[in-house]
Amino acid sequence: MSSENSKKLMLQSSDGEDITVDRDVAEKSVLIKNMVGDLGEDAMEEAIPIPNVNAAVLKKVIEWCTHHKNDPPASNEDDSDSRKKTTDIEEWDQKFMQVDQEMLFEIILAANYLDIKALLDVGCKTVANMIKGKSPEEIRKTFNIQNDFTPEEEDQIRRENEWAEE
Amino acid sequence: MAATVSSPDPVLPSRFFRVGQGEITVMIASDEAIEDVVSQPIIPFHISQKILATVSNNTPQLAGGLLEIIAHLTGFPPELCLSVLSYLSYRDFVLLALTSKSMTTMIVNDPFFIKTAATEEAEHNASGHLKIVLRAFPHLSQHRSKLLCSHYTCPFHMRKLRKWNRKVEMKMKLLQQNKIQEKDRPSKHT
Repeated sequence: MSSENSKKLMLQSSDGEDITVDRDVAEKSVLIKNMVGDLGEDAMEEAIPIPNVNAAVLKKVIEWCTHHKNDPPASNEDDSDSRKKTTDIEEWDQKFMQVDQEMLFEIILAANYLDIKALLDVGCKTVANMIKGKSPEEIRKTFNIQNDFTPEEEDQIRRENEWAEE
Repeated sequence: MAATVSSPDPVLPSRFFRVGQGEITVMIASDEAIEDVVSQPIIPFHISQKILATVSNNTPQLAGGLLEIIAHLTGFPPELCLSVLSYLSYRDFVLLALTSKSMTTMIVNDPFFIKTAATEEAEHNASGHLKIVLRAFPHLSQHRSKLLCSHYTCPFHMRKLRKWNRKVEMKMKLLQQNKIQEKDRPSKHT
């Protein structure tokens, strides 16, 4: 590893906590990478303010970036056809995303703000998987949707759309 | 013996022909009939107007369609919901629509839902096997997107895959449980 990459950066969360992080880990964030690029060596000395992300969430994001720091950058081809995207999530990421719903949304919002596309994708896939592969009853329970079909109506539409269900 | 092809069968829909004579009757669809079927619009998701007519006017409606629904359900800002939507398939939207009448009315006319249906249908058609399947199951031609096929976007294909996947997962769990039980069991030699 080059000496430049082993340098540390200080990030300051919205609640005022300073968190030291390897530069190559922090630069998984396009926002931070651009800031460091613009400010040069000055960025190493002062804590970089991350005003939209609190310390707990920032630490989670850094944990993800550390695990994925050696991942190759995503190619533009990946974006070409969103409909062919798979919702498969690798095992480590699945465990990483096993947090309460509020933290999950905070992580996604932080990934969006910090411009970490791969983390944003994993987060959105996790949310999509909360809907995917569930029966209408399970979706109702997950999102607290009130069923306003009568039993007869429900029986009819389920027969007509049997293909969609297991 | 070469099979003789008669003119359109009077009993079957006019686009289908009977081939052969005697004991074996094979029903096939002509190329023109297949083209005719494929060019017609389809509505694979169905909910009767009778049911839709009973939707209460007092039901709160979300103006932004699917985007708003996902934002409402997840508590996400709508701009992030687009990413979530892109991971959902036509089948996922149908299952979401089946949760309630108001959800159905909002989803069924949503441009994102219509676009997703059209995209999957086009992919299904472009894969080239759709016509072959239509020949095999002409009586199901009206529901062509529901036909059994091996295309990865086909709901039927996915259903088979999911069943297979569940079986494999069950077996893996059982194997793991057996391994743990064997480890926990005291050895006879000690």
